[in-house]
Amino acid sequence: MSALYFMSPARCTPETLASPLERGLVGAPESLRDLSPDGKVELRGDLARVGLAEGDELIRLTPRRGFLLTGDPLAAIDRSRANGVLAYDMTGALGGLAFEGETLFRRLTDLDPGALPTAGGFARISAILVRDEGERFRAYFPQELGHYVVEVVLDVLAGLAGGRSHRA
Amino acid sequence: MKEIFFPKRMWRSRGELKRRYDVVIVGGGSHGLATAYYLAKEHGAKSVCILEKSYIGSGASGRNTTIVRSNYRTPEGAAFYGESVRLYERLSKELDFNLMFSQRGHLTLAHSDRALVVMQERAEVNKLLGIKSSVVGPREIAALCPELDLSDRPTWPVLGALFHPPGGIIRHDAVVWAFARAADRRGVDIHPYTEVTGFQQSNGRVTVVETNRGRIECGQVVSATAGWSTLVGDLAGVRLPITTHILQAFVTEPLKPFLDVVIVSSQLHVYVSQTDRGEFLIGAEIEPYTTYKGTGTLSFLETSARHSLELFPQLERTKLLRTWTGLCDLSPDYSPILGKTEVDNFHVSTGWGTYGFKAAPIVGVTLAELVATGKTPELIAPFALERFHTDTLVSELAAAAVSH
Amino acid sequence: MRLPAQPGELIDRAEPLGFRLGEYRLEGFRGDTIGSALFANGRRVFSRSFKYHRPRGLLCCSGHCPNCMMTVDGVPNVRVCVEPLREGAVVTPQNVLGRLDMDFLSVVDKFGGPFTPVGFYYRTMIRPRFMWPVYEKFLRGVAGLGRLDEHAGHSRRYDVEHRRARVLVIGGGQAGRAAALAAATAGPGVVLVDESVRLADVELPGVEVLAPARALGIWEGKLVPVDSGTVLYRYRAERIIVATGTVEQPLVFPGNDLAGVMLPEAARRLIRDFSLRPGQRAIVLAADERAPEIAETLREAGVAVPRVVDLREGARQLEAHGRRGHVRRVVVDGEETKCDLVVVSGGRQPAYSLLSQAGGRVEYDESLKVFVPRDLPAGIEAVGSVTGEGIVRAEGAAAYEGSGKCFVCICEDVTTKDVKRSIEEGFDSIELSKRYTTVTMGPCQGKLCQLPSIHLYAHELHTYEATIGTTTARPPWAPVELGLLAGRHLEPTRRTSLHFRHEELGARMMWAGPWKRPYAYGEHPEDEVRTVHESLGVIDVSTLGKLLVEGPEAAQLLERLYPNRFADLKAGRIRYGVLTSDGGRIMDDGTVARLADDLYYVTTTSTGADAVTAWFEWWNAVWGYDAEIVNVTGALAALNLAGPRSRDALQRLTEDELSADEFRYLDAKHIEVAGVPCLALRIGFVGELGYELHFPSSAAEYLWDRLLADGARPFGLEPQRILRLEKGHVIVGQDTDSESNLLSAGMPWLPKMDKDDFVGKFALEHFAERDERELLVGFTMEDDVVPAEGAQIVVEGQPAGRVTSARRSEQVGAVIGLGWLPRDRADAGTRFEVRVDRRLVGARVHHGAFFDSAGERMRS
Repeated sequence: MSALYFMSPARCTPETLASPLERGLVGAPESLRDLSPDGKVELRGDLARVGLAEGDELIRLTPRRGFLLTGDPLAAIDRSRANGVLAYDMTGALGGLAFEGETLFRRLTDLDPGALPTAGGFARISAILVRDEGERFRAYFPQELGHYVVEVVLDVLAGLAGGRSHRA
Repeated sequence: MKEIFFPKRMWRSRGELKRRYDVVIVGGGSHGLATAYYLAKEHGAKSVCILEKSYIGSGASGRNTTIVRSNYRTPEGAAFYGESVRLYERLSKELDFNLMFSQRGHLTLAHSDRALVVMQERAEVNKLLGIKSSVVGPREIAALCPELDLSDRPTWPVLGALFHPPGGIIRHDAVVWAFARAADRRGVDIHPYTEVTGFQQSNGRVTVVETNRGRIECGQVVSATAGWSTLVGDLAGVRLPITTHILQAFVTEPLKPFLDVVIVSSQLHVYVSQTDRGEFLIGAEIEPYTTYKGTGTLSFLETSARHSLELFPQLERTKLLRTWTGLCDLSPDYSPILGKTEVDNFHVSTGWGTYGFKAAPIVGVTLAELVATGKTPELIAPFALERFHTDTLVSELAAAAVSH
Repeated sequence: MRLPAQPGELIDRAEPLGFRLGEYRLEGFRGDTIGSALFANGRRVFSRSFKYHRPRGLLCCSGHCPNCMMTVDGVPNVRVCVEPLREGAVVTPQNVLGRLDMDFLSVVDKFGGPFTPVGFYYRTMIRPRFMWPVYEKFLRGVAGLGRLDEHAGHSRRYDVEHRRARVLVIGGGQAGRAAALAAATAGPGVVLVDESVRLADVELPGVEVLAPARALGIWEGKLVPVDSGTVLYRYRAERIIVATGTVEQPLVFPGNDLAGVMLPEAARRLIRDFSLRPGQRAIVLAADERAPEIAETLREAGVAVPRVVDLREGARQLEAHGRRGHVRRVVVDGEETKCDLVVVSGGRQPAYSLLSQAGGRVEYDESLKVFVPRDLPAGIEAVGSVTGEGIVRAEGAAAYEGSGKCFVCICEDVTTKDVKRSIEEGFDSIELSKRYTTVTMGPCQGKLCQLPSIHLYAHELHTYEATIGTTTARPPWAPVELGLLAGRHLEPTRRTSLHFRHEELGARMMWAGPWKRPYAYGEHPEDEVRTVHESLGVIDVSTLGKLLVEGPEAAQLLERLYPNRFADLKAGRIRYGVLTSDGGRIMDDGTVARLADDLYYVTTTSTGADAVTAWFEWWNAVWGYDAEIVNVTGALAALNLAGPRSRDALQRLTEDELSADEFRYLDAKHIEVAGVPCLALRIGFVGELGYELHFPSSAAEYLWDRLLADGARPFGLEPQRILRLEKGHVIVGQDTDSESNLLSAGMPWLPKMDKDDFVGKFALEHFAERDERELLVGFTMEDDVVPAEGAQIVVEGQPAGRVTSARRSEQVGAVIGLGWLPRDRADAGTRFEVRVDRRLVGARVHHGAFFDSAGERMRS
C-alpha cells in the first residue's frame, strides 16, 4: 500500500465525496461548470519522463514542476512514480471551474489570455488557468477558496449583465 | 501673535560653513533640529550646526502621516513615547508656534480575537505606565466614531479597538519649522543643501566632516538621517542592522470634517485620519521590499482604497488627490536604535520604521543629554545599538503583526 | 438664452432634462453638463472659495479647477463643468454658509485679511493651551469643501478590467490621432484614450477609441490605469504615446478670480459645445499670440469685444473689479473698460505629468518660458504640444501690482502677497514655500498654479525659473474616486470543507489567520470541554498546515531545519517539532510523522503553512538536498477525535485494529474509516485519548456526519484552547512572540545541541550562555478571577511580565494560565501578582500540565 494512499479521493467510496463548489453554484448560469472532481496530479522531477495516457493534459509550471489533469489519477501517479517522477494526488486540493468570456477573464486576472496555460493571480488568489476553444477558460485554485471564487465570479458576471451594486 | 502683523524671518538665511563646530548634526529633520534645539536650550551649547542635503523637513519629517501616540507594546517603548507625547503637548507654547496638535483620540481596530489580545496587552502595559489606553467594544467605538462601518458587512468586521485618548495628529511641517526657528534663535547654524560626503577619523573618533560645501572640524557628530542612515553610517564605518523600505500615503480632496479620531487597522494595513483642512489622509504599512526609489505603486492605491472603503464605505465617491512615498529604516525588532556607536563621538538616531516622527521631542531631549554629558539617559538605554550584539531586543513586532 | 444651433453642438434640443439647484427647478438639454445647464439658466457663481469664501464662476470648463465644484445627488466635490446632466439631478452648492450669492463666511474676505495672512494658524490660538480644542473645533467647522453623507454605504458597482495594448495613445488631439493612425498601419492593438466626450464618436481605422476616459498615470511596467467612470481599465502597453497637449494658464493680476474671468477654452466650450454666449461684453487679455483668435470666436457668438489686449506689447498694469463677485470692469494701464466677461490667456503649459511620472525629466525651457519634458524612458514617446512644439512664448502673464487680491493659486486661495510674505519669512525654496502657503496642493494639483507660482518665486528671488525647478509630479493626473481604485471589495476567505456544516450546527465563526473557524457551537464552551474529558468530542483541524517532504535526503533536510532529531524517527512514528529562525526565535510548531524512509508528513500551525513551505524551500535551495516539499494543506481535511470513548467510537467505523498495543501513542497509521482512507495520528494536544484523522477533503462532510451520528460532539476553538491550557501546551504566536526562544519558552529539552548543525543553533548556544531575562511558565490564580490575556504581572509597582493565556478550568478547579515571569520569580510555587481590573490578584507558578501530568489519559 502506498504511503500516500490517504491523499486520493479516488480511493474513497464514491458516495463519500462532495465538491467545494457545490453550494456556491446552485442556480448559477450553465456557462459555469464545476471541475473540482476531475483528477489532478502534481508532478516533481523530469517532466519529460512522465508517461501520459490518452486525454491527459500536462501543464508545465517550472522545468521540474508540473500539473497533470487526468481522468485516472491513481494510474497516472503509479505511471509517473514508476518513471522516477514524484507524483501527488491534488484532486482534493484544488477546486476547478470552467467559465466563458474573455471579458470575464480580464475582470478576474491580469494574465495574458493569449499565453495560457499558466499559473498566476486570479481574483486575488493563486490559480492555474487554461484556455479551451474560443473564449472558454478553466481555472484551478485551492479548494478552501472555492466558495470565495464562485462568489466573485457570480458577482462579476452580474456586473457584466448590468447589475449596479455589489451585495445590493 | 504679533508676527501676524509684523512678519519676521523664521531663521537666518544660509550662511557660510564655519571651520569648526562642537556638534555637527547630520540631517535637518525633526530629530536633528530637536536635538540641536535642546542642546542649545538645556545644555547651553554654543557651537552647533545642522547639515541638511536638501531643504529642512524634506525627508521623513515631511512625509509621515502625522500621527502622534504612545500606546506601545513594550514597557520600554511605551515609557519612551509617553514622554514624547507629554513634550508634544507643551511644545506649541514653548516654541510659540501652533503645531496644531489635535489630540482627538486614536483607535487601533481589532478584527480578530488574536488582535484583541494584543490590544489588551498594550492597554495593560500602557495603564501601568500612566498612559491612557483601554480596550473598547463596538458600542464605545460607535460613540467615538459613528461613521465607521461596524456592521457584519465587511469581510473583517470590527470586534473591538484599543482606544488611546491622547493620540492624534499634528502638523508635521510646523514641528520642523518651529524647532528650526527656535534652534536658529539660539545660535544653531542651519545649512540646507549641504550634503555630507565623508568623515575623517583618528583614534576611533570623527574629526572632520566633509561636505559638498567644504570641510568642518567637529567635536561630536549626530546622524539623524532616517531613510539614509545606513549610507551615512557607512561613511563613518558604522554598520547598522537596518533595511530601508518605502511607505506610501495619499490624501483625498477636502471634505467637511466629520472624522475626529485617528483610525488604524493593521489587519487592513491602513490608517485613516481627517486633517484640519478636511482631507482624508490615508497611509499604508511599509512595503515589503527594500528600495530607495521614491515612486509609488498602483497596487498600493488600489489596496489602500479597498481597505479604506471596508472601514468607511461612504468615501466610495471621494476622490484621491495626491500620493507620495517616504523612506523608512526598519530595525530587526521594530524598535529604534538610538545613541552611541562603536565610533566614539558618532551618535545615531535610526531604525524608526514608521514611528520616528512621534518621537522627535524626546529624541531631541535624550540625544542632547547624551551628547552634552556623554552619559546615555535611562529612557533610551534599551534602544542602544549594542543590543544587537548582546541579543537583548525590544520587540514591538507583535504589535505590528497582523494576526496569528 | 441659447445661441442658434452651432455646428457640432453637443446638446440635443429635442430632449430637455429637468434638475434642481437647491429649491429651484431648472431645465437643460441632453448633452449639457450640469455646469453648462446652470450657466444657461443664468447662474454665474458656482462655488465659494476655500479660505476667503469668495464667489467663483466657471474658469477652465475642463474639469481642472475647483471653481465649479458642487454637490450632486449627495456626492460632494463634483466638477459640474464636465459632469453630464441627468434628469432629476439634485445640485447643491457647498462651502457656503447661507446662499451662493450671500455667504456669511465671506466676512473672512472682507475683514479677515489682516488677521489671516498665510500661515496665520501657526501664529495664533496657542494660548491658553486648553482653548486649542475649542479653536480647532471652529477651524474644522469651516474647513473642507463639500459635505459627505456620513452614513451612506456602497452605492455603486466598480470593476477592474485588465487589458493589453501594443500601442496606447493618450490624448486624442490632432497629434494623438495622427500617431494612433500611423501606429495602426503596423497592425492591430492600438488604443486611443481621450477625456473628451467628442472623441466617443470618432472613427479611426484600426484604432480602438476609449472616450470619455482618462489615463491616471504611467506606472512601472508601462501600466496605465484608465478611469472610465465605474470600470478601471488597467492597460499594459508595449509602447505608450503621450499626446496630452497643454493646459491653458491663467493670468495673475488683482481681481483675477472674479466670476466672469475665463480661460479661452472655457469660452470656446460654452459657445461651441453648448451654444451659450459666455458674456455680453468681453475684454480679451492674452499673454500669447491668441488674442485675435479669441476675440474672433467671441464676436462670432455675438459677444461685444470692446477691448483686445496683447500683453506681449509691453509691461501693463491690470486690475479687474467687480460687484458681488462678478467682474464689472477691467483697468488696463489706467484705462477702464466695462465688461461682464474677461477672457484671459496666460500661455500654455505642456501637460507633462504622465511623462514625468513615467520617469521623464522636466526642465524649464528659457525660450518658451514653460516646463517641458525631456529624456523619456524607452518605449514612452511624446507627440504634439506636450513636447513644447508649437507653443508661443508668453509675456506679461503676471501683473502683481495693483489693488485687490491677486491669486496665484485659486484652489487654496493663495495670493501673490502670501507667497511674497512666505519668502520674506524664510521659506525660500519652492518646496518649503509650497508646504507653508499650500500653493499647488489643492484640487487642481498645480495644473493652473504651478507655472505662475514658479514665475512668481523667480521674480521675488531675482533668479531664474530653471534654478528654482519644479515640484515632483505624482499620480494621479486627475483626482479619482476611491471606489474606482478599490474595485471589487471582497477579500479571499479560506473555508474548510466543513465550513457549512459548522454554520448549520450554529457555530459562532471567527477569523483565525486567513481561515474562518468555529469559536464554539453553543453558548458554553465549557460544556464542550466536559464532553471531551468525559466522552467524545471532535474538532475540525483541517486548517493545520500540511506538508509532504519526500526524497532520499528528506531526513537530512528536516534534521537540519529542526532543533530536535528526525533522522532517527522510525517509520510510522510521530514527534513534536518546533522550528526556530536563524536568530534562534520560535517560528512555528507542529508534528512530524515519518511515513516511510524517504517520506515525512509535517503539520504546521493554521497560519504557518505558507511561511513554513517557503522556509523549507528556501533552505532546501541553499543546501541543495534531494528532497521535494509539497504543500498539501487543502488536499486533506483533518479531524481530531478526542475523549475516553474515541477508541471505541473509531473502532466501530474501521476494520483496522486500534487496540492500545497495536496503535500506540505517537503512532501514525493508515486506516480506512467508513470507506475513507485516512492517515491516523495518535496525538494528544487536548490531553485525552485521541486520533487525528487526515483524509481527502472531498470526503470531509461525509466522515464528519458519520462521526456525529456515532455520538461524537463537535467542539470549537475556544474549548480546544481551554483543553490545551490544562495540559500546559504552548500556542506559538499567542504564548510566544517574535523574541521567544526554546530555552525561555519552557522547552529547553527540545533542542539537541549535540547535533552538528541546525537553523538557529548558533543563537541557541548564545542564549544558553546568558541567562534568560524572563521565562514562560504556568500559573494558578489564587482567586476565581480570569485575568485578561495581556494582563501585566507586577513586581514592586512596575511591569515585570505578562499573562499570555488564562482560562477557568472546571477540570482543574481553578483559573489557570501561562505567562512570562522574571527568571528569579519563575520557580514552582513562587507567588506573584497580576493586575486585573485595577487591582492586584495573587497567583502561583505551576510547572508542567495542570492535570494528568504523567499523560496517562492520552497514552491510555
